[in-house]
Amino acid sequence: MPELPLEIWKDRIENEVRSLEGLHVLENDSVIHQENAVELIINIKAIGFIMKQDPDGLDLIPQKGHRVFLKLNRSFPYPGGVDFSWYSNIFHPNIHPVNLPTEETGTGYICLNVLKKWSRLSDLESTVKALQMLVEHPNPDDPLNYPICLEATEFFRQNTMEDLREQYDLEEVEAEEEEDDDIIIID
Amino acid sequence: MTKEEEEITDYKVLEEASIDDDIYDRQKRIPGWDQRKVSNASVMVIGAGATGNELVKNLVLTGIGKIILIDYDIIERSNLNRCVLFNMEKDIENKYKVDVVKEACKNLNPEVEIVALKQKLEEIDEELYKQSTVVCSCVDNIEARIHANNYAYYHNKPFIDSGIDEFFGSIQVVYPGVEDSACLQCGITGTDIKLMWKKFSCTGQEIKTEDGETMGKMATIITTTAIIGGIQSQQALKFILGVDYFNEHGKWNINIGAPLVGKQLNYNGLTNRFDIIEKLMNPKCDLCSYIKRNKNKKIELKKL
Repeated sequence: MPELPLEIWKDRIENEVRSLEGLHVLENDSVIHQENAVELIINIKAIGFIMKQDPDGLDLIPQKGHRVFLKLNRSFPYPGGVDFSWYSNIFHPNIHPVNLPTEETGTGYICLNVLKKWSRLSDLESTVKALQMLVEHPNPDDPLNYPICLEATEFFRQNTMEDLREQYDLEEVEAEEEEDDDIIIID
Repeated sequence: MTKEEEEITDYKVLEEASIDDDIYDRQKRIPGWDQRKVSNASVMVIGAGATGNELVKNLVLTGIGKIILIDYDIIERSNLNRCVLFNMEKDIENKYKVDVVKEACKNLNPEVEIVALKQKLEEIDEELYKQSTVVCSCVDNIEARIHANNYAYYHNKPFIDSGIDEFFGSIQVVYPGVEDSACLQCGITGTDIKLMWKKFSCTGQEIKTEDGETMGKMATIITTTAIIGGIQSQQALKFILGVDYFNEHGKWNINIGAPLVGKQLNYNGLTNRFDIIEKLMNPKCDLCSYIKRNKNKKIELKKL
């Protein structure tokens, strides 16, 4: 993959981190500068579901916050310049999180097709938006080939997001979270 | 008499004795030609394939000082129909392209120094860009093109990119010295990005299959590469002979002419047409915008 000259790359990364700060998605003190890479953790605010281990069957809880680990390498902003790893638990056909409630070993993989279609050159602001979209609009037609993702595929084929909104009172979840945001702002 | 007319009538006095003995006599007769500039120049040539062969051949015969040739590939039998410096002798296969070109150039013109590097473009020493007068790319993929463009632009070097496909060819010239002219990165398209993404799987893991390597073989023919390689070497010589004058006076020497900076020349062998397209500078381009910002910073500092 092509690279930007180091000085320009550093400048670009600085701008990207600043824009993430502006979006209030960057986790506090999560940015680690290495010689030829920068690591950081972003918090995606979008309603998805997490799965609890339940012997009686599938138990899903709506969740608004998600942690995603990003590593920007020297190829950034070209394809392959960002390594993604989905940290927090999520029940999703296109995401295979690192932390799983089951015995399955998580990979952190995210089906990136949605990100590929998103922008000309991957800037992080649009990447964050794409990830938010991905959480709220699972794509069961293009699942990852892991047991939990396939299970999620079946689930989201049978239940559309609109059905789930009513079933789980998602608007209430959204409202709750917004109140939390207000408190943070007052602080 | 205007100043420009003066330049045209700037006759050269050549030594009579040199007429038949001096190798470079006939080219020295071109107004504006300065053989010292040519023999002091150092050209970086990225890719020693068909176009690279043509380019190196032309530059070597013109008496260029030094050529830094970069290619990590080895010769296959299917290369031999279009590479002027790979002869069809036995056992040429599996030799490194750069080694064979270097050897062939010794016969063409022993005065020219060839530095043969069997490295990936991303791994070469940045110092080499600084040493080069002109950077030329004769590669077959968008990644290497953009990479070379980025580093050449950053080090303020003229960059000449070439591409060929069947009976079609194109040349784009980039030089940051010409204000508001586009670089290769400015004109990057969604299709280019898609092509780059092809090397990655759905999860962003790099795909490394033998299949992936053989997929991108294009149809090429030596006639097109000769035309494009010829134009590319001409552009390189224009910079070598005329860039000092341009940097000093802000215009190109009338005897040497202006290179295709910020423009793309497209050759269509089917319709026998050459078209020149003006490329637009992208104000959001990572390279140009950064370099502009820094220039402005420097200007502001000077004012203070």
